Amino acid sequence: MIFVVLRKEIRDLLRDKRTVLVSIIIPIILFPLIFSIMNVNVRRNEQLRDHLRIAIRGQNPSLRRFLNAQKNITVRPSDEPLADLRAGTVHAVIMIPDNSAQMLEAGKTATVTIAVDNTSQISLMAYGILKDIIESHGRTILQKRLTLRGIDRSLLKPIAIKKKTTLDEETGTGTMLLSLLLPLLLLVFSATSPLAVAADLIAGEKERSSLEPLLSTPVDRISLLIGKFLAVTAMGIIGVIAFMCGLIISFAISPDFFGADKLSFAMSPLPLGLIALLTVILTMIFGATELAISIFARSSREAQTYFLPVIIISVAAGYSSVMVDPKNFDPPYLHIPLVNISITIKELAIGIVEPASIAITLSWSLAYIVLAILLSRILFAREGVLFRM
Amino acid sequence: MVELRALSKTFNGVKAVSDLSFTVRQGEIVGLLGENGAGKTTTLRMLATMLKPTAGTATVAGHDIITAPAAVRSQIGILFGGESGLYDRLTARENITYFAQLNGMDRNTTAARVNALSVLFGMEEYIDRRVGTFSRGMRQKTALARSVVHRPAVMLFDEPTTGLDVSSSLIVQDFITRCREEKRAILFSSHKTDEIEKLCDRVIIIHQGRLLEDMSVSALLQKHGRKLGEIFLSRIGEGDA
Repeated sequence: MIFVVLRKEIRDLLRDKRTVLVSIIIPIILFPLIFSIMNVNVRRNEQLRDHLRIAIRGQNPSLRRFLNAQKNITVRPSDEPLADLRAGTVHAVIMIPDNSAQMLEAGKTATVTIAVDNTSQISLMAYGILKDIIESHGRTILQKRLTLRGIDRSLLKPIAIKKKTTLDEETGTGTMLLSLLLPLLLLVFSATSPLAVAADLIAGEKERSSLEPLLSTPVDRISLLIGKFLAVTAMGIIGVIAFMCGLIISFAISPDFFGADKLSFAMSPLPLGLIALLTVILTMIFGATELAISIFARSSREAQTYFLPVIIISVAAGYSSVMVDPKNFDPPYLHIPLVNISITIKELAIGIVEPASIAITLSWSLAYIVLAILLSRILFAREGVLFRM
Repeated sequence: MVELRALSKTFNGVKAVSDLSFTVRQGEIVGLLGENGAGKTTTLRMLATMLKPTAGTATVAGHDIITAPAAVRSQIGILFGGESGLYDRLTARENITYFAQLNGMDRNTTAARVNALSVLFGMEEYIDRRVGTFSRGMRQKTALARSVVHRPAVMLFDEPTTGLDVSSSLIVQDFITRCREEKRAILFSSHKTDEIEKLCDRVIIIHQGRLLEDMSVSALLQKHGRKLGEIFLSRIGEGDA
C-alpha cells in the first residue's frame, strides 16, 4: 500500500505546474540567473579596475611621470580633486606633499596620501591597486639608494619565503571553496526543496477535504504516512539535484566568478558517493520534520509559517562548519544534529574519508529520521490534531 | 448491519455524542437529523473509525469499530458534503482507481469496476479528464463512484448535498435511493428535513449529542400530524427544556 500511495503522490505532484516550477525549474535557473547578473557587475568592476581615473594634488614630477606611465591609470586634471572624488568623477586622489622631491632626494621618507571614497567599492579597490603601484615605485627608489651606497639589497631580506601547497593553486582554491560552500548549500537545499510538497501532502489535503476519505480506507495510517514521507523525500531529492545542476551550470558559465581564473575540484568517487548519501539523509530528516509540521498545521499556509524556523536552523547548521577545520575539530561536534552532517560533508569535500565520523553522523542521522517519523506517527494518530479545522 | 451501543464521545470535557444507540438494517435508509453541532459528523466519524469513542461501541457489517477498525473501513463507503475531496490533478479514472487500490482491489477487477461505474454514472465522456476541469455535478458523480468502487455494505453520508445546486443534489439523492435498491445499509446525516422526509425510511433526531427520536418517518408524521420540520423544532425545544 505504501507504493500505491507513493505512486499516486508522485504522479499528482509532477502534474502540478507550481510544484514543478518551484521544485525543479526555478532551482535550475536561479543560480545561473543570479551568477549572470553578478557576473555582469564583476566584469564591470574589472573593467573599471583596468581603467582607474585619478587626480593628483601636489608636485613630484618623478612620481607623476611614473603614474602617467601606468596603462590602467588615467590622470585627470582637476581643480577640486576631493569634490571630484565625492562625485565619482575620479576613483582616488593622490596627495603628494610639495617637498616630497627634496625629501626623497635627501634619502628621507615622503608620505603620499591616497584619498578614497569609502562608500564606493571601486574606489576602495583603487586604494589597493594604487598602494601597490606607488610602493613599487618606492622600491625602485630604494634600489637606487642602495646601489649609490654600494649596499647589496639581499642585506635587507635575510630570509626569503616560498610557498608550497599540497595541491596546485587552482585545485586547492576550488576544493577549499567547495568545502566552505557545499555544507551550507546542501543543508539549505535539503531543507527548502521538500517544503512545498510537505505542506501540500497533509495540510493541503486537510484544506481540500481529501484527508477524511483517505482515512476512511482500510489502509493503516503508518502506510499512508510512509508513502507520503517517501514522496516528500523523492521530490526533495529531485529539488536538490535541480539546485546542484543550477550551480554546476553557473560554474560552467562563470568559472572565474570566485576570483580564480579557473577552478577545479579534487574529489574521488567515494567521498562524492558519501556526500550524495548524506544529502539523501538530510532530505529525509527535513522531509520527515516538515511532514510532522504539515500534520500539525491546519492549512498549507499555516504550515509555511511553521517552516521558517526549519530554514533558519538549516542555514545556522550550514554556517556552523565554516569556521571548523575539518582536520582539527572537537569530536563532540559530531553529536550535534545537522552540524555533524555539515562537518562531515566538509571533511568529504576536501577528500577526507574518516569512517568514525561517517559512522557517528550516519547513526545520529538515522535516529533523527526515526524520531521525526515517530513524531509524525503520533501526530497523525491524534484526533485533536487531524480534526482541528 | 450497523449497530450503535451507548456510543459516546467527549472532546475536552464536552460531550459531543452521549449514549447513542440505534441500528441501521440492510436496504434501509436512516436519516440522522440534527442541527449543526448536534453530533452527526462525530457519530459518522466514529463509525468510520476516524475517531475513537470515549465510551460504548458499534458494529459495522459485523465488525467492531474499536477492535477491528480496518475491517470496518473495508465495509464502508463515505461521502461528505461541501468539497468532494477529489484530487484535481488526477483524472476521474485515476481518482476512483486510487481508492480501489487502497481498498485492496486487484488491477483487473479495478479496471472492470471503474468502467462499469463510468457507464452507471454516465461519466464515459470525461472519465479520463482531469477532475480540476469538472463542473460541480461531474465532481459529485466522481466522488459517488469513488465511494462505492469497493462495493461497501454500508454507506455513510455526511450532509452530502451541502453546497450543491439542485441538479447536483438530485444526482446524490438518486444515488442514495439506488444504494437502498442494492441492499446497502445507509446512514444519512442532514439538517434538511425535506430531504430526510423524501429519502429516509427511518429518522433519528439527535440534539446536543443525545437521541431524541428513533422512529419510521411515516409513523412519526402520523403520530404528530405535522411536517417533519415542525416536529423536529418541537422535539429539540423539548430537549432544551
